[in-house]
Amino acid sequence: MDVTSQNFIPLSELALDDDNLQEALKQLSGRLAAGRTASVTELPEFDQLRIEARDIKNHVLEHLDLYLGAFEQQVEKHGGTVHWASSEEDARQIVLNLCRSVNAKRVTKSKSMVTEEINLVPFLESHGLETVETDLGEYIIQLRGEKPSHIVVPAVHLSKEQVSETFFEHHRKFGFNEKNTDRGALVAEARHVLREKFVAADVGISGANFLVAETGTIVLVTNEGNAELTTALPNTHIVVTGIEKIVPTLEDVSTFVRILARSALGADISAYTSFITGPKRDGDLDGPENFHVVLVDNGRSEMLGGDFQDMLRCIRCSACLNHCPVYLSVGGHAYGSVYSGPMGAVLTPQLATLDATKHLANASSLCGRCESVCPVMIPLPQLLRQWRDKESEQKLNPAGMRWGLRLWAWLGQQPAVYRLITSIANQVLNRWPEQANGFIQKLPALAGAWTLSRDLRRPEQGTFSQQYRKAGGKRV
Amino acid sequence: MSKLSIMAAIRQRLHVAPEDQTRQRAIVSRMTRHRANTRPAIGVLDGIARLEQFVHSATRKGAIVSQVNDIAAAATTILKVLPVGSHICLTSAATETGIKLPVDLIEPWNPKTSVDNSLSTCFCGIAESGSLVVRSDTGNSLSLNFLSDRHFVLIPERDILDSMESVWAKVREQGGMPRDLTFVSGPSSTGDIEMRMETGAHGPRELHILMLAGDL
Repeated sequence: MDVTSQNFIPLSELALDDDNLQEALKQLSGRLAAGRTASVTELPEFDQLRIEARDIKNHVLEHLDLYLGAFEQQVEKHGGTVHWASSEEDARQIVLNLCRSVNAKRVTKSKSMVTEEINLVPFLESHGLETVETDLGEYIIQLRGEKPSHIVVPAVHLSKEQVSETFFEHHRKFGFNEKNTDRGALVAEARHVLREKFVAADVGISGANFLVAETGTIVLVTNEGNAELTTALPNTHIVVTGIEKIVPTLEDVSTFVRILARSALGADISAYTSFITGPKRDGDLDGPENFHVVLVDNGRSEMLGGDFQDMLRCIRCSACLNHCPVYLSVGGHAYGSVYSGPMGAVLTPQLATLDATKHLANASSLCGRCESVCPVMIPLPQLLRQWRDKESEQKLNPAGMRWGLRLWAWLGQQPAVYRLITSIANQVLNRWPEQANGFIQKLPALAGAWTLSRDLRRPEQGTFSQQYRKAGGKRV
Repeated sequence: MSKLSIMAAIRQRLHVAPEDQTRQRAIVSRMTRHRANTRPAIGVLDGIARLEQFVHSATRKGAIVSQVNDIAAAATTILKVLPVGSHICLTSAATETGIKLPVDLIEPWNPKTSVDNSLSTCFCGIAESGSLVVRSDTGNSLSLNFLSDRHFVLIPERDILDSMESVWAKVREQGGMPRDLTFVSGPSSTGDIEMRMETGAHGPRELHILMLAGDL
C-alpha cells in the first residue's frame, strides 16, 4: 500500500493550523461520538453483543481457511465466481480483466475501504475505464483528487463551501450553473448527476461489510442507497473485499448489524442493509447477470497466529477514530494512509512497511478510549505498544531514544537509585526559579520540549515514598 | 495459483493441517445449527408491544407510518399523499393485491427508469429496528425501491416479525436466500456534508409504510 506516513509530523502541524479541519473534527466528536454514547446507553445488551461479536470473529479467524472454502462453494452454487488475490497488484489486475471481459466502458463504485487500500480507481481510470465513486463523500473527494480522511465519512474534512466550489467547477457540464451552498441542494445536485451514471454503468463495484459463509451472501451497509443502485443496475457486479470479512451464519451477521451502526453513527441500524446472494435468477425483474467476488489477502494472512491477529476482527466502524484525542486533533490525512486513527495506526504498518509508518504507533498517549469503544474489543493500545517494541527491535528509532529507554528500564529495577534520583528531582523542581502560581514555566534540555507549549505543575513536597513513610505507612 | 497459496499461508500461520476433520466438523456444525446469539429485549416482543415497537422505531428513522384497516383505506391514504399531476408505478406484486387506484395515475414499470412514486409489497417487517424487508424477485423490483422519489410499501401487521432471527427462519422456510434482500430502515439519507443528515441521497426521499390491520 502506498503511504505518506513518513510525513506525519509536518502534516500534523499543517492540520493543527487548518481552521476548517478543526471545526470539522469538533463536529465529528460532538455528533458521532456523542451519538454512539446515546445509542449504546439505550441498549442494555450492548456489552453482551460486543463479547459475542469478538468471539464470533475469533472463531472465524481460527477456522478461516475452512470458512473461506465454504463461502466460495456457496457463491458458486448460486452462479457466482470467487477470485483470490494475494497482493494488491493481483486484485487490481483481476478487476481490470473482469471489466475487459465484458467490454466495460463505464464503471460505478460504492464505498469500500479495500478498494482504497489497493488504489483501484486510479488504476482502472488509467486503463481507460470511466470509474465513478457513488457514495457522496467518496464522490466529492474523487472530484477533488483527494484521499478519504475518515473511513466512514471520507469528506469530513471539507466544509460545505468547499464542496460547493468543487461542484461548481465540475457540474457546469451537467447544466448546474449556479453555486449552491445549501447542503440539501448540494445533495440533490449530486443525486441528479449520479443517477445518470448508475443507469449507464456496465459494471458496478462494491466492497462488503460481511461475507456469510453459510449462504455465500455479501452484506452491504449504507445510508444513501448507492450500494444498491451500484450493484443491481449494471450487468456485472464485482465485489472486492478482504478475506477477514467472513461470519459463519445469518444469525451471526445479525449480531454485527446490531453493533455496527450504533458504534459508527449512533443509529440502531443504517437506512439500508443489503444481503446479496449471487447473480440474477430466472424470472427476477432485475439484478446483474455476472457476479464476482474478489477476496483480497494483501498481508492479512500474515497477521494470523501472530501479535496482530486481533486486528483482523476490525469491522471498520470508525468508533476508535471518533474517540481518539490524536485523530480528533490532526484528522485523517496526517496519517498518510487510507486507514487513520488508532485502527489505521495498527493496520498501516502491516500493509506498508514499519520504517515508513513508525510515527503512527508513537502518536498516541495510549489513553485507551479506542479499546473501550471498540465493538469487537480489539486491544488497540496493546497493539500500538507492540509496534513500538518492533520499532526498537529493528532499530528504526533514534539510538538516543533506545539508550534512554534502556536507562529508564534499568532505573526502574533499582529501587534505591530510583528513590534517590526522584527525591533530588523533587527538590530541584520545588525550588525551580521560573514558576508562578504553582506551575513551572520553563525547563532546560530535554524537559524544555514539554514546557515549550505547556506549564508543568510543581510537584508536592517530597516523593510519594517519602510522604507515605511520613504518614506512618510501612513497607510490607 | 492464488487460492492455494492464500490457503497454505493461512494454514501455516494457524499451524493446522487441511486433513484435520475436527475443524471441518466444527464449522459444519456451526453453519447448520443456526443458533441465535443474544437478542435484545426489544427484539423479542409480541402482540401489541411488537407493533408499537415497529411504529416507534420506523417513525424515529423518518418513515411515515399509516395504520389502515384494509386495502381500500391504503389506497385512500396514498391518494391523499400523491401530489397533483404525479404518477405512481406499481410492482406486479403490488398490483396483485387488488389495490384500486385511478388508472390514469398509474405509470408502467420499465427497468432502470426513475419514477416519482412507487408502490411495492415486502417480504416482512422487523419490529426491533422498524425495518421493512424487501426482496428483488419476480414480483418486486429492487430498482423500483430505489429509483423512486416517494416509496409506498404495503405490509400486513401479521408480517411484522420481532427480529432479524425470525426473518432468517422465514427465509429458510421459503427455500433460502433470494438474490437480493434489503432491510429498508427509513428514507435514503447522507451525513457526508458537514455531518448533517440530509434525506434523499440516492434512494427515496420519503418512505411511507402502510400497515394493514387485515390480510392483503
